[in-house]
Amino acid sequence: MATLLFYILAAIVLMAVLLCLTRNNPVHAVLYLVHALFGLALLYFLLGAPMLAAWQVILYAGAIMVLFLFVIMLIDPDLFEKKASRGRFRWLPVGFLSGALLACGGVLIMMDPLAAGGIVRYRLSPRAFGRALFDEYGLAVEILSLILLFAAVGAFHLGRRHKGKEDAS
Amino acid sequence: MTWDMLPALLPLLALFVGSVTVLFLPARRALPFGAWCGLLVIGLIWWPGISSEVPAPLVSSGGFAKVCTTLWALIGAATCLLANRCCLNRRLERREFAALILFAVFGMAILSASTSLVSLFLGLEAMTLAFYVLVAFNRENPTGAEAGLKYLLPGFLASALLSFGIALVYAATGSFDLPEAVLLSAAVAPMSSVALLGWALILSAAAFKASLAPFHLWTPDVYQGAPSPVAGLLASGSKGAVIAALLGSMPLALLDPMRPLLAGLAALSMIIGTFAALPQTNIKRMLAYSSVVHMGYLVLALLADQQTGIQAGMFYVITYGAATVAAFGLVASMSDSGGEPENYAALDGLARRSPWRAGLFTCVLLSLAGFPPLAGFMGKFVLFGAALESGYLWLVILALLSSLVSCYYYLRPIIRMFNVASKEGGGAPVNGGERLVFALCAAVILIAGTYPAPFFRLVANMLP
Repeated sequence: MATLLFYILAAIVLMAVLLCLTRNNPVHAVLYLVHALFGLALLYFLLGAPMLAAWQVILYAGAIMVLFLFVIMLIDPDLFEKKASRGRFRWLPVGFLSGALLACGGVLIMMDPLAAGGIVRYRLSPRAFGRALFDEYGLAVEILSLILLFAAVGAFHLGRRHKGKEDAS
Repeated sequence: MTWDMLPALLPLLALFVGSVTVLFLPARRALPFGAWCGLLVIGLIWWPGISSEVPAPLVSSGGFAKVCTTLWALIGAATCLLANRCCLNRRLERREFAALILFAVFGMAILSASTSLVSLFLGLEAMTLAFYVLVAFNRENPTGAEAGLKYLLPGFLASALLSFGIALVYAATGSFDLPEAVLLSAAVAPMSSVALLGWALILSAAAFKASLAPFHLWTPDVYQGAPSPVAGLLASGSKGAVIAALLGSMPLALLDPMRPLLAGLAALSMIIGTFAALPQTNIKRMLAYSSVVHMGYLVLALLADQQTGIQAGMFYVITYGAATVAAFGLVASMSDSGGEPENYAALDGLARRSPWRAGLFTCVLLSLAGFPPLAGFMGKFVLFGAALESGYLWLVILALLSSLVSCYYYLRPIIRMFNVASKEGGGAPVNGGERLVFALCAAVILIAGTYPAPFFRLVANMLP
C-alpha cells in the first residue's frame, strides 16, 4: 500500500511540475507549483517525517507561494485577462490533481505511515531538530541570516530609483 | 557555539561587522575604510595574542584557512582602493560598493575554510550573492545589466546542482563533514552510483564558479560588463576561493571515477580557452578566456598528491591573483567618465603616454604568459612539476602547448603599447591607492619569480 501510494504521489508531483513549466499564465503555473509542493509534503509524511511535511506545507506551499503571487500581481496585473484559457475542459487537470492529492492525503491519514514501512531510523523530534539547528549548525544559521541581510542590501541598491544617486562629496 | 570559539571566528566577525559599518559612514570614507578593514582582518589572523585553540564548528581555523583568508582580505582591500576612480567617474554609490566587496570576501573566507558541505554551500552563496549585485552595480550601463543577468542565471543553476549534489552525497554517506564524506565514499569500492552522481554534481557546480570549460560560457560577457575592479576580484578572489575549497577540504582525486572528469575539465579548459582567446581584440574578454586557461592549469593541482597539490596550487593562485588584480586595476586606472578602455586600440602608444602603466602591463601579461624571470613562470614550473609527479604527462604536454600558444594573445596588446604612437595626451595620473596596489602586485610578480622561497614558506604553512 505504501509503495503504491509513493508511486501515485510521485506521478502527481511530476505531472504538476511539468504542467507548471509549460503554462503560459504565470498564476496557473504557481497554482500547479503549489500542487507539486503539497505532493512533496505528503511524500515526506509517507516516509515518516511529519514535522518536515508540516513545514513543507506552511513554508513552501503557504508563505513562499503567496509571495510568488504577490510578485506576479505587482509586475503585471493585466496578464490574467490576456492569457485566460478557454475551453470546456480547462478545469480538468487542476481538478484532477487536487482530487488525487486530497484522496492520497485522506488515505495517508487513515493509515499509519510508520507502521506501513516508513523509515523509522530518521524520525526526528522537534526537540532534536531545534538542538541540531541552534547548537551543531548554529553558525550556519547565523551565516544564513547575514546572507539574507546582504540580499536586502543588494536589492535595495539595484531597485533604487536612478535620481537617488549619492550626493557628490 | 560558545564564547571559547570567538577567537577562531574573529576574522569572519570583523569582515561582517566591517561590511555593515561601512554602510553608515560618509561616502568618501567608505572605500578607504574597506581597505583598512581588510588589513585589520589580516592583523587579527596573525596577531600572536589571539590563539584559536577551540575550533569553531563548520569552518576551520588552521593554517590553510589563515593563509586563504589573508589572501582574500588583501585582494578585497586592493579592490577597494582600485574602485575609487571608477566609483567617482561613474558616480556609483561607494558605501554599498565597499560593503558588498567586504561581504564577498567574507563569503570567500568561509568557502575556503569550510570543513562541512553546509558551510561550503553557505560560503559559496554568500560570495555569489555579493557578486550578483557587484557585477550589475552600474545600473546605467546596459552591458552591466546584461552581465548581471548572465551571472545570475548560471549562478542559480550552479546552486541547484550543488544542493542536489550535497543531498545525494549525504544520502550515500550520511555525513556532511568534508574530508570524512570523501573518505567514506572512497572506502566503498566500487563507489556507489548515488555518491558518484553527488560528487559529480558538486564538481560541476564548482566548475561553473571557477569557469572551467564547458561551464565557462558566462565568463567573457560578465567580465566585459562588470566594473573592472569587480572583474579583478571575480577572477582572482572568487575563483581562487573555489579552487582553494577543492584543494583544502575536498580531495576529490581520491575518488577514482572523479579523476577522468577532472582531467577532462582541465584539458577542455586549456584547449577551448586558448583558441577562444586568440581572436579577441577586447582586453577584458581576452583576460576572461585567459582565466579559463589558467583555471585549467589549476585543476592539475587538484589531480596531484594532496600535499604537493596544495603547495603548488596555492602558490599558483597567489601569482595568478597578483597578475589579474594588476591587469584589471590597470584597465580601471585608465578609465574616465566615458567608460573603460576596452579595445586594444585604446592601448596604442601607451608606452609613450604613460610609461609606468605600459611597463607594469607588459610585466603582468608576460607573467601570465609564463616568461622566465616572472612569477607566472615559477608558478607553472611548480604546478606542472606536481602534475608530472602524479603521472599526468599528457596533460602537462597539453598545458605546455597551450602556454606556448598563449604567448600570441598576450603579446598582441604589448606590441600595440610599444608600437603605434597615435594618441595624444598622457591619461589621468595614477592616484595614491592605485600606486600602492600596483607596487604590491609588481613586487609579488618580481619577487615570486626570482626569489620564491618566502612564498613557498607561506604555502608550506597551509599543509595540515
